[in-house]
Amino acid sequence: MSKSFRIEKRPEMGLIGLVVQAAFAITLAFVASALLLEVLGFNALESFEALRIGAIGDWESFEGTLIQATPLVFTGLAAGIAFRTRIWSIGQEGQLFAGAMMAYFITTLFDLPPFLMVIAVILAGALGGALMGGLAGVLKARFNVDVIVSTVMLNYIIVYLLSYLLTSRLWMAPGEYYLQTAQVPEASRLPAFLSGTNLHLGVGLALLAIMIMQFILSRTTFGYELRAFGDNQVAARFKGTNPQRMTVIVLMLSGGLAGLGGVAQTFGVDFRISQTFLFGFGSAGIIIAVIAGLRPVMIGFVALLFGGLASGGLFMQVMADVSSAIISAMQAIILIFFLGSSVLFRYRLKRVTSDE
Amino acid sequence: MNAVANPPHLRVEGLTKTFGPVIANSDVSFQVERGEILCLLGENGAGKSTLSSCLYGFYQADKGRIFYEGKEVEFHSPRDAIACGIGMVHQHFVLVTPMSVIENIVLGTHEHGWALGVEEAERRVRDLCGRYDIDLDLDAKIWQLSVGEQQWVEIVKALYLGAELLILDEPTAVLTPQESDKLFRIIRRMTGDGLSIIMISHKLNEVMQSDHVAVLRRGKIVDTVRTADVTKEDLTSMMVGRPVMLQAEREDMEPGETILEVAGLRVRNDKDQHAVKGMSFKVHAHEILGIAGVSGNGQNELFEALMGVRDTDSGQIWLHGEDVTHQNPRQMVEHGIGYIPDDRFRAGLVGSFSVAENTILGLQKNPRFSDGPLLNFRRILNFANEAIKRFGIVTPGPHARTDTLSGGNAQKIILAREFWSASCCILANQPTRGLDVGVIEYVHQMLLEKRRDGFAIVLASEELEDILALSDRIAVVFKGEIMGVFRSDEVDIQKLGLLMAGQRDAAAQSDGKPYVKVV
Repeated sequence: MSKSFRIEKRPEMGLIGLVVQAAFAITLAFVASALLLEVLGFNALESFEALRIGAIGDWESFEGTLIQATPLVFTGLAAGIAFRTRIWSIGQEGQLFAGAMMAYFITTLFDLPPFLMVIAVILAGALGGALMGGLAGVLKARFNVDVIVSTVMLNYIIVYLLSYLLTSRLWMAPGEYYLQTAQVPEASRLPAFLSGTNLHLGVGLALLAIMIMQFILSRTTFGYELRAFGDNQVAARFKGTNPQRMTVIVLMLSGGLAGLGGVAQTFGVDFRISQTFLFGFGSAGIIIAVIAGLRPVMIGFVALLFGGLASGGLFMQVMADVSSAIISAMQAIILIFFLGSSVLFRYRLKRVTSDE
Repeated sequence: MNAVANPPHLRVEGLTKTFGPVIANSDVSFQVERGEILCLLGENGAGKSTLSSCLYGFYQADKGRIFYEGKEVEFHSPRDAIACGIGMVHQHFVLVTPMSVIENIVLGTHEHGWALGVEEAERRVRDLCGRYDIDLDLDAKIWQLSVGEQQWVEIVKALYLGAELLILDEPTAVLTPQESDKLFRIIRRMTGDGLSIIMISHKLNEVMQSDHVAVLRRGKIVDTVRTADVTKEDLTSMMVGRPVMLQAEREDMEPGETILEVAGLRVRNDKDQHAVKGMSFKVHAHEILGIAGVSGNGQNELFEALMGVRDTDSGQIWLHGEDVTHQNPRQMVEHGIGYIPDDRFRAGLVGSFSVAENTILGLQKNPRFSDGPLLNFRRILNFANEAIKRFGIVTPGPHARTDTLSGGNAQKIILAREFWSASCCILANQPTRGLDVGVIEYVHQMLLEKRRDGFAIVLASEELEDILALSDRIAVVFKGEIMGVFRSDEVDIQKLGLLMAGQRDAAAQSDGKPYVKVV
């Protein structure tokens, strides 16, 4: 009797398996990041301690984490819903810009009482993102334009449009030096979501969006059709799904979510638009959606992790003098380890006993 | 030939191969004498393919020994098997389609280093073809050849590489009856020359052409018998493990009103060529119209057009006298047409869905399964449990993932769904392809039951015996055209086979009757 090990394919992994896998990847990512910090001449433990304090040190810093996570939840959900349908949209960034810009645009058009103005801003943001996404959808449905290509190009177009609106001073306050819009009116700013906290309404909307998306996917006929289409377009087509219509609807939904992210960030945090304020939420959302396995609730948790990194990163910069650019590197490191571990976790070691 | 003096050409002893917890082959032993045809017979999943892959060095067995001409051999890769004298012709050919026949044969032989020694090779290939009377145009490009001819390229290639023992995987799956007759004629010539053949099959007609049959069931050899000593029925019950009715009884029935009518239908394929060139036919209530033809002659495009998935170029489709041309799939489903696709996991099921979810695919908006925009899981589960019970779907439960099911059980999910939703017409495109005998019997009975209920049924199949047994009328298709429509008691397999190959004149001569098109 001899014993040896054999590598074999693992059967389907459940939710617990996915959580273990994510924890494994994140742990390794922190180890790798620690190495990176040490190589750069920082004390990794001190840096991480600063990161922890900045992210979840007390209630106030946790609020910061929640607020940082909010736009990421929206772009994460936006990427998640598109990828679930196998529509490879990477237009979340542009749709986030479009949402914020559309909402900003209506504040320049009219005044409303605070409550109504906030509703108008939210609707305009969702609309702006949805139009932006829908445009890519129509291009795909009517002219079969590759969604990856069209969304990337639309990302550029919207950012350059903002750049034009600013440099031409159409959207800049008189006498303003930086390339940014004037502040949005008081009435349009998102009010507190929980009284006595800094959490703005967008945080609540993000939570609601997670629940609604989860509900749509798992309980509705539309979500059923969407999942069927995502897994097997041919069968879905035979069973009555119109692929063009589905593509446009999903991209509008995805864009609307990303647009809400733009509203949350602009009208809840920055109160003005600049290219740098909104930069990077789109790509982070894609990473988050992939790590979360495109599941809405998991997207919420992963967005929280990334929000914590972002908000703790600022504190780390102040306390340990570590550039917060390291946070972007850490996010990417987490993704790499996650993708690596998802291949690794497809197999398992099995102990085998043979007679000879 | 003296068995003691001459060891068998190939002998396998106690071969076992497992994949994780799945035992594909368990303690398999058999032998092939020089110059004989041995058939490995078994249902899907019985372990035929794994066994042949082990013989060809594609897999390595966990246990067991292989002897080639009495000498123990060990194959670590197909290269070892080829060097030893074993050749394999796969079910799915591995040919480079833009290249010529001769290039494909010489390709990868490495005999001449990097330069292809085409003249020398061509001479040898011509010798081979001449010796066995194989008719191949060596300069033709692969894409110009029929599937049957491509198979010959594979066989010649194996012989060119020096194979003395050929493994043929389902060799007649893609052939017309005449082509498969020719195949066996030439194979016999080869065995007469001392070559040996291992043939993998689940088709009884070709099995009967062999010398010995080794029947596999659940990875084990049930028995090895002399073909001359057994009947098809014996082999079937050995293979399935119980007696099976090979042909369902079709009772006589008066056809009713016209349900589906197609006139002058022209449909393009994905390459934008006409795949359906002006087909016209009618199907009545209580009637099965068989579509006989080698696959790839427009059947898929025809069904896709009938289901509204593919748009028609010209021509019309009527259902109950109503013009339904250019309607979309959802409308066609609502008209009461059920569709059983040939490729279940491609066109009929969502692999990642549960069994329950797949039983309502396309029916999610039916009030039986949803309340407004919300799915009603209780009623979906009830329906799925009913389907599992009624159709005998073997699954751990309604929540099991569909892609873990066998082909037969997956097909039963589709049957349950389509038979429930269809109200007047069933389109069945190769509904039994790749299924086990037991399930085939079941599918046939279900189709006949629907015929009794007054459905109009269109059944496309490559299995001519099934078509003859089940259909009231048979339309033979070749290259997108209907070569003729016949009452099934008026034609025989020979005539159908000739028409399937596009040979109208030969078909007319085959039974002395002039060629008539009965509609």
